[in-house]
Amino acid sequence: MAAAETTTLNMGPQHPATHGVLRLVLELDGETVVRCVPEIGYLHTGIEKNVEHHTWQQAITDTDRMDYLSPIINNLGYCLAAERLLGIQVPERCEYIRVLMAELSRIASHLVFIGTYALDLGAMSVYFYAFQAREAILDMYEAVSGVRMNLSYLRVGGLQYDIPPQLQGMVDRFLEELPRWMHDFRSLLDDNPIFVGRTQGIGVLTPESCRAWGVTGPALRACGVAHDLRKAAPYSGYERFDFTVPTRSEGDAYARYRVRLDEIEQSARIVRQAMDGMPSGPWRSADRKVTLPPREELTTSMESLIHHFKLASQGFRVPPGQVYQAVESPRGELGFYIVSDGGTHPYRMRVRAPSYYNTQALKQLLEGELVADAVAAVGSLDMIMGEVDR
Amino acid sequence: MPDDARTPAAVPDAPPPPALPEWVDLVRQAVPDGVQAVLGVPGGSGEADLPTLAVAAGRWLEVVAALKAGGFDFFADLGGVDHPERPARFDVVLHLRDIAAGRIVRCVAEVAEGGSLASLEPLFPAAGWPEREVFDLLGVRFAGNADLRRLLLPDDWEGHPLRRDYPLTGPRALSPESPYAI
Repeated sequence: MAAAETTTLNMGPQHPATHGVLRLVLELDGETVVRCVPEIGYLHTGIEKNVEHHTWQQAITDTDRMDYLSPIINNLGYCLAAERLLGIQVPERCEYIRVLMAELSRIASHLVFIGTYALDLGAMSVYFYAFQAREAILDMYEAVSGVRMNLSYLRVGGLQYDIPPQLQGMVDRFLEELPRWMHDFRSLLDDNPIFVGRTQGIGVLTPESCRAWGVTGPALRACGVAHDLRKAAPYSGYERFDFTVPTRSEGDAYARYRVRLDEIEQSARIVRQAMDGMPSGPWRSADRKVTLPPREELTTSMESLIHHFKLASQGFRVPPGQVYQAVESPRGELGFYIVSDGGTHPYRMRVRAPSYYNTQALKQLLEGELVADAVAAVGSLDMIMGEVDR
Repeated sequence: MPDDARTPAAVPDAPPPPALPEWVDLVRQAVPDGVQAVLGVPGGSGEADLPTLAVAAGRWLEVVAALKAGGFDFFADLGGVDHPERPARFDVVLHLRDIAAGRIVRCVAEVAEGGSLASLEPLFPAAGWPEREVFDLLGVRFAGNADLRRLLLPDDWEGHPLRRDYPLTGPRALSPESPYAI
């Protein structure tokens, strides 16, 4: 009874469960997906090209717009890469603030995942709880940088501002409330028969298929590989912090959801340690060729005025070379391969976006699944089309 | 005093050049003419932020296969860089990881305008999209890629925007007055 005919179904690009503008061309035999061709590019904005026409400092604003749910981590990867090319070291306080903000943004990103994924599967209320929790983090973003999304808070050589005094209380309050929120999510979803039935055994990845398709992040850790760049290749002082890398062995959509929940708790531990252990001292590099001089010096120091003028009008030069700096984003390995020709603009920036490879793996992930499970499988990878298409 | 009574002045032995890491030797044995230069390792011919192999374009697939067999079995990324002033203007840059051992390696191959490289899809299915993207945005072809269409841009797009001589704004044809002319 070999089926002679298959049906081609277009899912997207304007499908509510594709989280942006992903188009999947599904070839169906009855209700079974026999072939999946993901089509991307609908959100291509030429970020890699734009960066070549921005100064090193301006290019930070481009990085925000790739993975807009964890902008700080994009900033961080880029700034670390540029700082390695420059050969400068940022002060310890700066590293702590970066880790603090990066982990808050990881929590915020995972909260969006929990809310939208539950919404995809028909559980409306989780969405409101998750966004309520995320709101507290957006308030912290605002307190720190004045901006709630795409904050471009990091700078090559440091930060935009020091953290404000009221952040301590906001973080304390958030960490106090987080266990209650987590309890809500867990009790609403973990053993929810509908949620479990729709996610367990769906979209299974194995360590071998992850290697073949370059899948990283929670999707890789959900099939038992404890690979996290914060541990494997620590950056920005992550080796100072005590946290574990949650893994599961099943490799299915449910395991990916559970890994992300566990990661929120680990990130909260890091946030606590970063806030408690926050060293005093400078929060940006003292290298005046790269960081702006303090405002008060401009009225008294000719050198400061010259540095300020040079940095504001043309930016700094970066020695020729190339560097690959990878950081662990909420979605996996976010890599910045940057080439400098010694100029005031990056010569080339290639971004290894984790969602890009995870989305490509849908070719394999969806084959053999029922079409009704496609939404559950796609959503569980938590892709951001902004960084897929760049 | 006879000369032989004196202990001969010890000629300090020049330290032997540090040996290349074993994995580089394995690649060289597997593909003798594949690796043109090694950077960023002890005994290498230059500095780099991480171990870097300059790979002969004609031996691209074989070298990567040897690296994969040697443990670098995780496809991290593939991209391209344009250097229009060079005879072979494109660099195709590959990063591979060995997750178990925590290692990373970069492979770089030079490709001329109109040239092509062997596709890595037989080794890593993950190479499919990045190769399409390099073709789309830079115009480097990959022989053996099963689906070498444009990836990010529409199929009828003209030109390859990540080339350095492709303007950022205005008409696509590059005018000499363009501020983006190189």
